[in-house]
Amino acid sequence: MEVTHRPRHCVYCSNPLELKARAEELPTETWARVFEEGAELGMFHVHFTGGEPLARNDLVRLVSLAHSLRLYTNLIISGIALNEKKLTALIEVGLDHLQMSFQDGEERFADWIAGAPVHARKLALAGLICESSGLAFTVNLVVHRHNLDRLDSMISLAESLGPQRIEIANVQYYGWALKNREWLLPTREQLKQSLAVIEQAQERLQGQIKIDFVTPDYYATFPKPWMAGWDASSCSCILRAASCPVMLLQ
Amino acid sequence: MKALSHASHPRLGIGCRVRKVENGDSILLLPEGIMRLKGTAAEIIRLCNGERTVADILRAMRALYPSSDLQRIEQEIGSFLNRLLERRAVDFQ
Repeated sequence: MEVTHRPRHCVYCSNPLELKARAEELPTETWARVFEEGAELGMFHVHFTGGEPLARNDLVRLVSLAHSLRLYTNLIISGIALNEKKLTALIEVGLDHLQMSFQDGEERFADWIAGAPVHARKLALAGLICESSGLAFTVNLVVHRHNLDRLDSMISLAESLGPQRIEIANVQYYGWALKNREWLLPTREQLKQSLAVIEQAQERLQGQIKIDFVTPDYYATFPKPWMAGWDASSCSCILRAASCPVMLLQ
Repeated sequence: MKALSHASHPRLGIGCRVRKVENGDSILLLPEGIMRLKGTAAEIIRLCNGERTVADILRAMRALYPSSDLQRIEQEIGSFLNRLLERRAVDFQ
């Protein structure tokens, strides 16, 4: 569920260039109905994404509504808008899994690509998340031409944050990322080297941290299944719930 | 690399939970995934409570299916648990 298009300010954001305005976002009660109808149709998971879902004041309420319908709740955030109080509230209402993105292993590069001094803050938040019992944690490493050569140290950083899962996600060339594609797309050689790094890390961390990897579109033989095929059984509701590549889990 | 042994105490991974669905089957909900638990899978997962060892689980399953081939039970349960571990659907101490 893309609950908002309010920013993330990333050069590789996959959101459309023309975002839905805040006024067009669905109100709480409409999302409640979407969850209810989805649960009735056989939906099991709700993924809260955006934009930055934490930009919505009613996010805790939305997670709570989904949880009360026995839906598995997954929150995908940049982390900037999270604090301890909000994290505690989200866990209390039943958040199952949180995914936070990191832009680099080194602060100066991470802050440079993010366009704001946020890396240190994200590290501190990851510490809080890790200490929270019962909440599953994925570290998402966003990779592109300007950091792929440092993937090894990025994985080391992710590992030190104590997640159950690391997702190494090449930038997806939609929206802003498509506009900036020439600047972001890694070379074939970079990609080849990164695959070796990933394979090594997967072997080393087997049974401790699950590592998933998303190939950049332009180097795959075939268009990849979105979310490694997981999306074959899911549907996206975007703000006005207009666009739905259809699911369903029988 | 981390792998299960007979002395490990497997339990459901963080953020993983079992849910019954309408037809009576169980599904395992994971971060960004779902597993449909067929056959004895649900029973094995139910036994992964962090207190029983893998050896205990094998014993319990043997008791439930006395006519099955022991070696096969051991091999299949072992490979099932390791697959779950790779996905962090189970954890162990």
